[in-house]
Amino acid sequence: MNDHTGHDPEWPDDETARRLRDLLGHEARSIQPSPDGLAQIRDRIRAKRESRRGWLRPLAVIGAAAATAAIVIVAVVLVPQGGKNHNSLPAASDSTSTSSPPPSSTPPSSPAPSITTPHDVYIYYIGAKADPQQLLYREEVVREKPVDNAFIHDAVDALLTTAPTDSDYINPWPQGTTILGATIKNDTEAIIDLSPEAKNGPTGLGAIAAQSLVYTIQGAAPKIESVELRIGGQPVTSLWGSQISDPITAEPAWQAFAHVWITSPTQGATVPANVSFGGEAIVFEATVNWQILMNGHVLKEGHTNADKGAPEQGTWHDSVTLTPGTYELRAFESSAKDGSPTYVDSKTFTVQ
Amino acid sequence: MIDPGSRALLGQFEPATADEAVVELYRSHYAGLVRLSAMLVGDLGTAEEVVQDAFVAMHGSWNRLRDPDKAVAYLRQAVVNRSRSKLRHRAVVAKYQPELPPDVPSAETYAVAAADRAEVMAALRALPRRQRETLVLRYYSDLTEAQIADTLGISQGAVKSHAFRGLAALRTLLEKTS
Repeated sequence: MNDHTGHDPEWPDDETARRLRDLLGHEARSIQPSPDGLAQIRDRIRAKRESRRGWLRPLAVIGAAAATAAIVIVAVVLVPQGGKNHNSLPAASDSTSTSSPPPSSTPPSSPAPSITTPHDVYIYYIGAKADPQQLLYREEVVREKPVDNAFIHDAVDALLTTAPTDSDYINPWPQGTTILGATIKNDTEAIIDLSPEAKNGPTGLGAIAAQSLVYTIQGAAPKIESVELRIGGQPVTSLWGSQISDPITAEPAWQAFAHVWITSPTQGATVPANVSFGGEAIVFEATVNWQILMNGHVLKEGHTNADKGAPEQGTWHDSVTLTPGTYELRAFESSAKDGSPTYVDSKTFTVQ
Repeated sequence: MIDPGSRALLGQFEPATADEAVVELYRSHYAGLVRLSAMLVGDLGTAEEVVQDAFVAMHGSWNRLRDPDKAVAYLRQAVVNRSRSKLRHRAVVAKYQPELPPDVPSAETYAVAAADRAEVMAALRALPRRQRETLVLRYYSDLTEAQIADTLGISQGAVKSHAFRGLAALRTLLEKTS
């Protein structure tokens, strides 16, 4: 089913080991921890504190801290980029200045006949269905390298004008929205001005749409730490009925991203019979489950491990050999609550 | 879900306080640790108690740990040790449900039937404890030899030898599973 033997060739990973691994995996899925474990742990911690501190201190307010789970950064991992030289960002100076927008060009969604200097842009879309929430997925598009290295302007333009390839994702930004200006302040803050069409997006998705904007900008310009959003020149503090912070900062990946992404194959791809597939995942114990389906029937399934476990995002991959035909790949996390698939991502692909 | 006060960016981060560490590690590791303990002690109720104890202890030691990776290693070690002492004091009773939950893909897609599994799990729990712990940490938790050695406080050579012996003891039974 899954193949871990490559990691550690000295280990006894023969048929017996493989069976034991499968069996323990199935056993694990049959064990369902109760949903109130956290409450019980808090009660015990509180009881311990009370007995230790006696009447000197009031009850610890663990609940409040737990509810927000504020995070302190210790390191920043930057998304590797096609455009190498981000030090040459326009307006990467102390003062505020405006980057010149590239001349209007062919809409990126139409086939671009001649990209002479290709430049990868990562666009963050939102899952069409709540599973269990509508969170971010990423797709990669190739665009012409922007004039004057206007990476931020170009990335926002890509976000506003490119429809997702995968119909399970949506682009929340209203059609017709354009970017009026991109400015950098103090090297790390982007000021983005959008046209008035941006005012009316899907209700309830404002906060996650703001994250799609921040992550898309950071993908193109990793130096950017926060984004001040303006619509028609006016600063905004709410978007489509949701409060957003001013400036907007990126939420941690485990809060903003769908936990399982398939990045290869891409939706609708044609691939050779020996299908390599994979993506990124933020899953506990780093376990990613996958299934290959044809006409809705599961043909093959397995699980593999991401190279990092939650709360970090790790990469995962596996492979399978298939006969020619059209298949669906599904990857997901087994719910810690009841073992059911959550954070399902899927791609349809064809084997030649 | 959006907390405007959050200062996090992409990538790695560290919980600021013991309380926050408990919440975060609970989300990422509680279920996996309960499963690990349940495989060792054979009882879900005991496993949850063991893991909750470990979290309370981790909370108390947070000032020393201060690092999610260290905290996970600490939790794992605490869970294995506490599972071991629970076993010492009482007979093993497999109380948790051996059946798969209804909404996972249909049973015939699984290579190993639940009945076979119960038999192998019983045999696993009858192994000498180091062998049992080594096999579960290796083939369920997917730890490396070095991580298992750390968790159990033994040498890597000993880890390897426990794994070989444990697998050899289970081989006949595992060969019967289809």
